[in-house]
Amino acid sequence: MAKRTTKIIKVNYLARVEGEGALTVRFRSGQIEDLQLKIFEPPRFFEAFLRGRSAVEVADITSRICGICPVAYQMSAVYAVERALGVTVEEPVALLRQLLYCGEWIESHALHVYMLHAPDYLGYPDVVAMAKDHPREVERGLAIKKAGNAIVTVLGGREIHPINVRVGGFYRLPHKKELDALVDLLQHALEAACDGVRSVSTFPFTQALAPPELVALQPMLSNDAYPMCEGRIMSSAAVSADVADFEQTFEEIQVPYSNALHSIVKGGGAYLTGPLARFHFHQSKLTQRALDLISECSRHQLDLNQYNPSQSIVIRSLEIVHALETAIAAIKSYERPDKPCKDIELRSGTGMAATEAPRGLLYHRYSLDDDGRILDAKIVPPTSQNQRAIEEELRMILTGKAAMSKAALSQLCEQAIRNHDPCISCATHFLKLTIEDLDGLSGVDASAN
Amino acid sequence: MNKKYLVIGIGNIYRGDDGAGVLAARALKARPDVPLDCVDIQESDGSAFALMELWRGRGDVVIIDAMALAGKKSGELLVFDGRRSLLPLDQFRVSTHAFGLKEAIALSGSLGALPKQLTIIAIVGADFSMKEGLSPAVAAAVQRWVNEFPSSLKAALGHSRRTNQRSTDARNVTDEQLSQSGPSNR
Repeated sequence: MAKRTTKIIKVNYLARVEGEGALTVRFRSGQIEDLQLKIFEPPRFFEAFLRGRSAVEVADITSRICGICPVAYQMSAVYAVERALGVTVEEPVALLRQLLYCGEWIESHALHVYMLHAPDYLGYPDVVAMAKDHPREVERGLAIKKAGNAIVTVLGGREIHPINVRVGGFYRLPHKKELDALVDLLQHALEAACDGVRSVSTFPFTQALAPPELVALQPMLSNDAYPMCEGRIMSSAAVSADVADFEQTFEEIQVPYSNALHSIVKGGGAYLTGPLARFHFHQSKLTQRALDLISECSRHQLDLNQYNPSQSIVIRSLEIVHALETAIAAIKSYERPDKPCKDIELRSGTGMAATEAPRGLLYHRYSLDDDGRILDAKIVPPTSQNQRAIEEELRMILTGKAAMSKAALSQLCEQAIRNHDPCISCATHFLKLTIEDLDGLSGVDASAN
Repeated sequence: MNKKYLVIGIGNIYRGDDGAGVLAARALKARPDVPLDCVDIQESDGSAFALMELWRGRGDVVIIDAMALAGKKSGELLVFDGRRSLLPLDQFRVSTHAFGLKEAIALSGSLGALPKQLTIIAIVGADFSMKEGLSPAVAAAVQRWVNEFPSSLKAALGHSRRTNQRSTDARNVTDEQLSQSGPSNR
């Protein structure tokens, strides 16, 4: 009779991710018996806070959900409320919103690529240790992040939790010279970002995996651009849905071990949103410098068309280039509109919107009463949507690895999770790993935290 | 133009005593005897990258911040050399939501980008709950520092080094105590 062994891997506090969570993997006789990505940060109750508040407050309340991606919350919130009120913002305002969003993509991606993710490939426990040997990489990340912050500061009113976005437009529009003053900084960051793509594309990557169902926005034909602020929802399987049908297409389910809900495709299973999905569908719509860099990568035998989460650092870096070029173009074409905001009339209605946060699709729905007060709110953040797909990916990666050492397994799991830049703060924070060999019969250390 | 001295008041005025650094910076800026042509006074929420950007290329930086330090009474003013203290880095391996002063010093140190002088004034706080206003002992400490700083600055401007600012307490601040610093380091 075969010897039965049980081994449990627990990452009790996942490092270098945004927020607090844990991972437990239980092996029995070399097979994965259970795997749980646990988000133990307490529930945030934002959907409940919103009830009874005026619809005009959504941008300022929801931006507090996250200090890394507040603009994403503002964008999905205002577009959803505007749909409920029957308001469509004019192109110059929409363009400014896209510019603000570019600022957030740049700062959020730079933070993850250079401060959190790069140490995995270069073999350091954290960016402080990495900075001693690779100061240029870190300085590059800081320069890029500074450019993103500058956009958010000028357009959003301040660096973190911007205060200038409102339903119908903005509170204050920047003068052209204020935006023009950013161009040199953005150009400098663009050159740094291009060097960054060349650098990260030489990192050692693991093997490609079978892809999960990938989900991203599909911009309207009239705006056939890389997705950011609008579009239908599409998937690599059968999904093609209007954003208004999000809740008929996907469902959230409770799992006992996590304070964040899991999202699945109705009648289906896990799916993944974010840079890997956006790139899969829309890489041809990236800006020219990004496309040129993809060609450069392929000349160096880097295949970005396969599903390889360890290459997400390259894709994020390409999205930084795209966001910087998009931002520079938006500034150059900017003409200050007469009014910062459309007149809005508060009334009853329901509106839904989804935008592409740095980490993936972010869906909001608001139902309003006759006075425009929020009766019901629903917010589905990307990390919540990606949790199950990350769990399934970990199962795939860990299959056949039960005999590896605790340290090696822990590193493997943590890096696999960091490939997806989860924001646990949004999904409710992160990450705690434990490896245990309950019987003490396998080749790994027992009960480690 | 980079002025010779940079004072950064760190904190959140909506978290009780955590606002001490920001309120000290504001009070200092309002004093007529502070030579603003030589001193740049800034406020910060304490996020690491913003701090690094503020002190990048600066020669002499003074940070004032409220901290919760084990074994110290609220309202105590402690001064120490931010370049020399060995700060614990455990937090750096977790979320960037928590990157603060310690992380900014550590990363700037690794990059060789620390100011030539980095003086940290720690005001020991008592109440970091969600409210405006300082507890009496902390308010008095802020006032004391604001009253004393202009004269020590004058001396420093005259002597280029502010060794006269350093209190005996500075030598008593241990790294272990620093690791227990309060919410303004978050």
